Amino acid sequence: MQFSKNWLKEFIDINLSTEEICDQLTMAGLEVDGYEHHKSKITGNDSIIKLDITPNRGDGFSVLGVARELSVINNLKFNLPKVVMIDNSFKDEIEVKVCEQGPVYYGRTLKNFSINSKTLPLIAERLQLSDQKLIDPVVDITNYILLELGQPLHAFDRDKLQGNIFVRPAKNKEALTLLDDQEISLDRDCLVIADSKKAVAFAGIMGGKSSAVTDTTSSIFLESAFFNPSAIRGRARRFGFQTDASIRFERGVDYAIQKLALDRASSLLDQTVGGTFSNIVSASLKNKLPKQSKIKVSLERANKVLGTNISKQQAMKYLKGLGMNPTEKNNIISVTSPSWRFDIDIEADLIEELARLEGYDSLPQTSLNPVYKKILKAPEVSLSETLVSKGFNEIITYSFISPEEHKLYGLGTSPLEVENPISQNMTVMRTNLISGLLNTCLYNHNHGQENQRLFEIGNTFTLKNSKKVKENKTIGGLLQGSAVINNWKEQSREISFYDLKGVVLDLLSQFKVDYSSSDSSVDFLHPGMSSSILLNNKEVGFMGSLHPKFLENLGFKQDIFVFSFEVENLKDKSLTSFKQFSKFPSTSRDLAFLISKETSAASIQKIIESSAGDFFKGIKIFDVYQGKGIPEDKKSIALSVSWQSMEQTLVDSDIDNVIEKIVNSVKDELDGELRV
Amino acid sequence: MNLDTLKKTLLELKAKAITEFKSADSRSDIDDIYRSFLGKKGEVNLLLKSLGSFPQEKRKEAGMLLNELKSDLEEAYLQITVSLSSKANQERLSNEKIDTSLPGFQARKGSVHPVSKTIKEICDFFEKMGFDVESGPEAEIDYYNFEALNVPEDHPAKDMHDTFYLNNAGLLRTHTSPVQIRTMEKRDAPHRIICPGKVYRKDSDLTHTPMFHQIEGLVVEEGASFSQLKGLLNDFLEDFFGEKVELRFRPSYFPFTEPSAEADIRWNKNWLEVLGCGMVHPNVLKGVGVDTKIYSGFAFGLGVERMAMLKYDIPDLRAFFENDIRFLNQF
Repeated sequence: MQFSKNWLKEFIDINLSTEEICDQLTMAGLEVDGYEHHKSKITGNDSIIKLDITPNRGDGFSVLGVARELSVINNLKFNLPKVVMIDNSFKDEIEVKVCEQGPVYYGRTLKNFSINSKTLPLIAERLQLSDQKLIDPVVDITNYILLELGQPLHAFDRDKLQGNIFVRPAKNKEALTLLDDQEISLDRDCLVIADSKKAVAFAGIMGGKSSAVTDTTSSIFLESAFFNPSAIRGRARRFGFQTDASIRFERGVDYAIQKLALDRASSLLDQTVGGTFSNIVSASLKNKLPKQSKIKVSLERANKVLGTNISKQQAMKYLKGLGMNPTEKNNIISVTSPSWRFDIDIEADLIEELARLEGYDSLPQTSLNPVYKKILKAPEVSLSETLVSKGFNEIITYSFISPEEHKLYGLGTSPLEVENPISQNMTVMRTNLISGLLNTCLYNHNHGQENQRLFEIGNTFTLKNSKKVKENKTIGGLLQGSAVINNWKEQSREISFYDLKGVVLDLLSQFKVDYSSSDSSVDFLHPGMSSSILLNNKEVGFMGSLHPKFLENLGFKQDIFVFSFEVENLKDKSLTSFKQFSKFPSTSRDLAFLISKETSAASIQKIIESSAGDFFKGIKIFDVYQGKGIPEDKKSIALSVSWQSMEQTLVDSDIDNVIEKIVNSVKDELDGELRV
Repeated sequence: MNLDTLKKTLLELKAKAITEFKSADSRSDIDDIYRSFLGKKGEVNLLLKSLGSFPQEKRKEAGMLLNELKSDLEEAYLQITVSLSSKANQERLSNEKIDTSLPGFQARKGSVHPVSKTIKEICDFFEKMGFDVESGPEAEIDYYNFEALNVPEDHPAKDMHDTFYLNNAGLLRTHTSPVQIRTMEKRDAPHRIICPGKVYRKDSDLTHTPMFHQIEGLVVEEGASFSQLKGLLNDFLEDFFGEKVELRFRPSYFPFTEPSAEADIRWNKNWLEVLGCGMVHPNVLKGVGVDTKIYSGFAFGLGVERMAMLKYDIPDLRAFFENDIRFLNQF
């Protein structure tokens, strides 16, 4: 809503600068979006004020409403515009019937007018300053009333109305062609203006084509009506549009202003296009107007909530100024909501009015007392700290991905789609974090960044049984490039799967959780260089090298390693009790075995562990070798096994028996040979 | 042997030992020399054994002379070892000289995303005030996102939120306020909670991204007042920006608060909107079974990206989701 500042003078005698006015309005809750100065040939120095009206303040959608607000703030006398009553020269026999949803209706017919007249210069200027196009004098005047009084008017071609006027709910699927040629099929909860034959307007929203005023119209029927907000709300939006009328009606138009608006329009039409006016036809259902029950506010409660000390006299003065006719008994003030306010229902609404007029800024301020509580660290904070300490950059990417990305990285899950996406590549909710990581890696690669370490922590979404959304907090990471950086002395090397696995294990080591892995079936990972991540025997994610085919599609030459796993239910591994360690030295032996190439390190470790006796302490793999000197189907794995006792220093003879057992087990179970 | 010959022998022995010590140039040579004089079979020991040949009355003096020699030689040994090791150190020091101006092997520096960093900074303040950090789903249902927050179907207030709908009839939450409702349903009052998280609105231009982050705070307790809300937000903004900020409150509208307010801060002379807040609407409290005769509440919400842009002087909202490493590395 924007308007000329000088227009306010139709209602109040205000002599404040534009800046002061704007400041007052903003601080009263009618936020000024901006203003600019204008030099008017008619009214002199002027300004255009642009308001950003919140949905509760329908009354702010008119110059009258803004002027009234300023009159209350500045204690100014408020006048309604002068209206010269136009007598009726003939009688229109048309009758009007209203209904619950549209309880007030005024109308009158104008004949013999001159459509070729020019809109009055002041009206034309004000409309233009409100960013309203000039059309013809009749439309211009209806628009003028809309802006000035907030009352939408509609002009019908009188000759195209057949019989009487009815404000009624639409019939199911009732067809209506609107002024803008849009053909719509209405629902029963829509309201129409109909003549005796058919619907002629989408009530409170837009007129119909069939009864529209055209160049050949010789007689118009002017409507000034009130429709209940609940009958208008959302109806235009249902068909994908909004109008100046619907915006006002759905927020609430003053239900006592229809007659004034019609009179004011008549007077302006009389001045502009002349013609003869009929009697005013009207109908109203008083008991269907918005309820006017008494609303009470306890002054004590208001002062408590606001932390203020507003006196009874002051409160009464504020509420009287707002047109609420307050009465008081035992510090309880009762008011009735004015006909132009649709946001005054309960005590809290009145407390807000008192706060507004007192000025939010001058309300007192006290500190909130802190309350002790134990601060818990969320698992994602520990995860993030670990990764950052390892040189990873945290990224945040959009939760929606493209259908193509879902197809590539969605692991065959059914997509959770956005019905009204903002763009075609943001239509599916991500099921893991891989596409965001890869896109970011690619973006940075294209900007000359190498050796990237990225991670993201965010929710991922899967659709279960095509109805229920499963939302999981997930962590994903990406490694690419070389392993050592910032080092002029040592040679860097390409990173490997084991760098990736090390990161994942370091992450998990802070939590009370059992890690295990199995072969992965993630189709975008290299089948020979990936594994799934199991926590407490439940599969929660995967890690591995990106499949060469996917790398190629991305146009990437170097390997990219990724991991992703769900982080729900991770519990911090807090130190519960200290464990005694041995005071005696540990003994270790290095063993190298020749085993089949296919045998995993984990399986030989497991065998050694189970045959290494009571004093077994640990195994460390220190070399894995394939190639020269080793049969082609074999590999050599070298391990250092260690033992330690809590009670004594171990001697060779303690170990020798166990070594024999180990060697035998490896031979029996894996056909492994000890290398000497 | 008599005492005089012994004295002479001892003098010669001392001179010989010292000469040998001086000519030695390794620790092991020195030790050999030491042993040849002072070892079990060393010359001093041999002399000791010959003491028996002295007459009783001279034996004591002879023993004293021998001990004197022994301690002289020990002393000489000590001196030579010290000087030798200091010579060795000297030599090592003169050979070992590195260019300490070459770069150190620093660990690679990672970074927390500025949005996460800002969320943490904000939550830290509120946690110290006794707020619990709560979270909720991003894929929400209409009830929690609108209805329970006093936004009826078709209400124009819904226009303030351009909602993304999902093909399971749910929606992407347009604000973090649903977490309020979920928390109040789960637990009894009083409440102090702070809820950071992603929110989604169908909006994309220079100053809007379809996904962004919000933090919502809620206090429900006896005597919670608008003046506390003002005081708390003032303290928070001062803590966040690290200096006093000029703050103003003005009336606004949110369906779930009444009175509602917007808070602006003075930034480069202009007023800039940073927060929405207000007293929790009685309908919201009643809806989750809070006794409004005992409890009142206030809530506030702010945009994380906006706060980060102000604090870290970031000109473009889209930088947050571009994730350029040159941008990220600065946090």
